[in-house]
Amino acid sequence: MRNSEIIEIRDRLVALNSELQGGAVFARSFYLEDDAVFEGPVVHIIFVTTESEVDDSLETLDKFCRKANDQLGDSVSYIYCIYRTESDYQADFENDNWNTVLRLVHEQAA
Amino acid sequence: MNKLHDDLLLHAQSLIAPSQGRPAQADLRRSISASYYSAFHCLCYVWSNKYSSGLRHHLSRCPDHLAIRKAANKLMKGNSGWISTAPSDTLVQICDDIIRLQESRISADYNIAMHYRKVDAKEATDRAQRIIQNIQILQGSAASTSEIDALILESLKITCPAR
Repeated sequence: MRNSEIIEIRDRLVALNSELQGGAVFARSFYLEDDAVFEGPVVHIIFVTTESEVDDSLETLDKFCRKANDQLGDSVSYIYCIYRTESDYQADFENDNWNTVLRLVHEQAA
Repeated sequence: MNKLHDDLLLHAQSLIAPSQGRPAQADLRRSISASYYSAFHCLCYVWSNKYSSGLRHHLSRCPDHLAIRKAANKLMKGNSGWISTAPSDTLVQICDDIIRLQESRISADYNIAMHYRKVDAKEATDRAQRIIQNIQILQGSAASTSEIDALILESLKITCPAR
């Protein structure tokens, strides 16, 4: 995937987070994969909740993925969503397995 | 006697609710996998149950995973020749859930970088349960039965002849 496309996805996720501002859930990072069936890239978005637990009802999980689809729908072939609390995100994704794979939605200042 | 897909769903649910402590990674991964196979076998059951009992076990394995994924994607977009109208919301939901559940199952079985949480496995069991319920809803409506038939036919790679 070209860098310009990655930047576009990031920009759209930043816009999604603006839309979600004030809520308990926001898009923290994402990674991309090619998918032969969908004939294009699919994106996996990792949402982080500020609550101590993730509201795991399908209705809630699908709601955020639908919002992401509204923002990104025409840039990628499919959108998958993963949900973590802040502490679980740090434990599960801030490690060597993911450092080279994940792209932060809001890039940290150097 | 329970159907295989019902048993698999119960198995998936039991793996994330151990009698003591938190579920192990292996339990969460196997739960996600069992959830997917529960939905897969439900579809296989609907297909094979159209035929006599002596043929069912031969026919039940005919749909394959990649074909189901392609079929679901095609039907969601209204690109199947087997349906002349826009897909119902229920069919779109089934297709979306199947695609998401299959992706989760592939990751749970092979992606060793991923650390699973109960929320992931619960999502998978809930999706499997919703797929099975929605298939039953469509089957209960004569007008909608053709939508499930279309999903099965596309999953068997049988395209509709030009009308």
